[in-house]
Amino acid sequence: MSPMTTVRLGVGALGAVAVGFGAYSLLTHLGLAALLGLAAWMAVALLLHDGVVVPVSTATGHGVRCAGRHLRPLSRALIRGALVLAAVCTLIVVPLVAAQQVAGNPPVNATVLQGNYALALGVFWGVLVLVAVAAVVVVERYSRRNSRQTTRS
Amino acid sequence: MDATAGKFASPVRSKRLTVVLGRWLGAAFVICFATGLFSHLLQDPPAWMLYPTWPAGLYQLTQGVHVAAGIAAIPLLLAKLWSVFPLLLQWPPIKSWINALERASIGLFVAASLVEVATGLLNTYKWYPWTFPFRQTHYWLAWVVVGSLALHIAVKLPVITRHWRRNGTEGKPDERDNDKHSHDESPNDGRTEDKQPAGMGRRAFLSTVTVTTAFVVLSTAGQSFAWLAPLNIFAPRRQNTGPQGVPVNRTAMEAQVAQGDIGTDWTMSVTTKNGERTFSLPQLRALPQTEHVLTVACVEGWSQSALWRGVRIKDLLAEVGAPADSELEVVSMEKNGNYRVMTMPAPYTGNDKTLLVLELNGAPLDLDHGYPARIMAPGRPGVLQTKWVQRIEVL
Repeated sequence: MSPMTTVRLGVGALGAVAVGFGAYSLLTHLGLAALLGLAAWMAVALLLHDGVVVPVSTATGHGVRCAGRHLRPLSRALIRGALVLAAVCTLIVVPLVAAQQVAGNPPVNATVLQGNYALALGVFWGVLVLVAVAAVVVVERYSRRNSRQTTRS
Repeated sequence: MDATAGKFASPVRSKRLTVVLGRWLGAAFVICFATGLFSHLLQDPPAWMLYPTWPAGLYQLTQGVHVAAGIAAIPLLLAKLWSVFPLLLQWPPIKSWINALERASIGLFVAASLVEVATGLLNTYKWYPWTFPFRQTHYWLAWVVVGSLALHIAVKLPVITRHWRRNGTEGKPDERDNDKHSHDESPNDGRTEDKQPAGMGRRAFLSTVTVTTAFVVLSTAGQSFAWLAPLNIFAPRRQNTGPQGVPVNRTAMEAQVAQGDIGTDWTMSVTTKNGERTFSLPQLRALPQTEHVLTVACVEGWSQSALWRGVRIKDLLAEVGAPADSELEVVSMEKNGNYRVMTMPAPYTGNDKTLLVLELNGAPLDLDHGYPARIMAPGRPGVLQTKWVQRIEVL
């Protein structure tokens, strides 16, 4: 048996034992309602990711490719980067805002969820748009100037 | 279906990209698992458990890193899954029974990972919109995630080792074509975007993932580490806020402890094998007072250092004739809660910094911080720093 096969079998066996341990413990420690709830969360997480997050991000990426076909690759990369950053931050901040709504006003514990997250997210988006637009403008101007100079020489 | 997979293809996707992202995500998961296991063992210690009391901020570090690594795992997980998404649409969906097993294990891995990071994030602000108990589920699911990670590595090890280092042929069409015909199909369709080298697209993508991961960590980790507090815009907690400049995990109202329950005749008891002795608040204040800067570090990831002043536990034990290295059971006045009764192992009892606290930042404890008396010990999870102490029993 080759060293690679030995390592794969060893790591795989350890992994299978850990999965079995975790799954068995969940099944034996949680009641039926809790297990059904967990199964529902796992199914919905997969559906949301595979059915919403990836198609939307792929379509957005395709949109940037088409709409920005006259731009430099670096500019398109900057736009994609800004969109990814904005999307991930939104994904993390929206539940904070939702939890604030659930916690009520005034909340039982005033030291949790203290920020004005909706405003912070809006300001963040605004700054990100400004920075991304400025960066794209700089890249495009610099590239055009360079290409003009190259043409003259 | 393969045509559909082709539509999802991007020149940026490649095995090398997946391996790089997998390394980062794997590191984040392993850090989360190790620090989470440490936290779990501190709360439910086995007989062999060692209790580190130095450095006093150790739990602040491990739990702060746990939550920061969990938040970092969100963009890393999304990027990793994006890099292999076309494989989901492969046709036929199942090629053999081994392939079916592998796909099922990946489905479990992905679902468990998504739920683990999502519920962990919501727990940082104590929001539980589900029917399962958070702590147990988070713990057992972590075993499923880390076990699935090991299984996944075992299955993919040949591909991982082949693409561990950047090789000179990357990005060239023939390299991608060869990959396409190899045992493990690449999601890459071999197209290039506007003649842009795939390597450049990959670097741009990895830069985006790096910046995004750094941003979500830096904009939230200020709840755990004071030096990052100025950048804290998206964390559920803020340092130096709340009564006496310290945030609260469980308020007196949540614990059903009212000011009216604590009159001028309030006493707490210390029980030993020789009997019971009661102490009023003036009597506790008359004992030698010690002060230390200690950190409240909560399982939710936030932490706060403050100046705590009160009676050293070992001095209190000496007062009742008990040895300094006794194991204790500390009971709170709170009406219910998983941590109403806390066991304090000997390493904490005998530590010079372990206090029965009466004052915080130069003033008597606020009711939300455990007035009239609470425990503070170095390096313990916040839930074990029992507030509203009613009784201490020497075991």
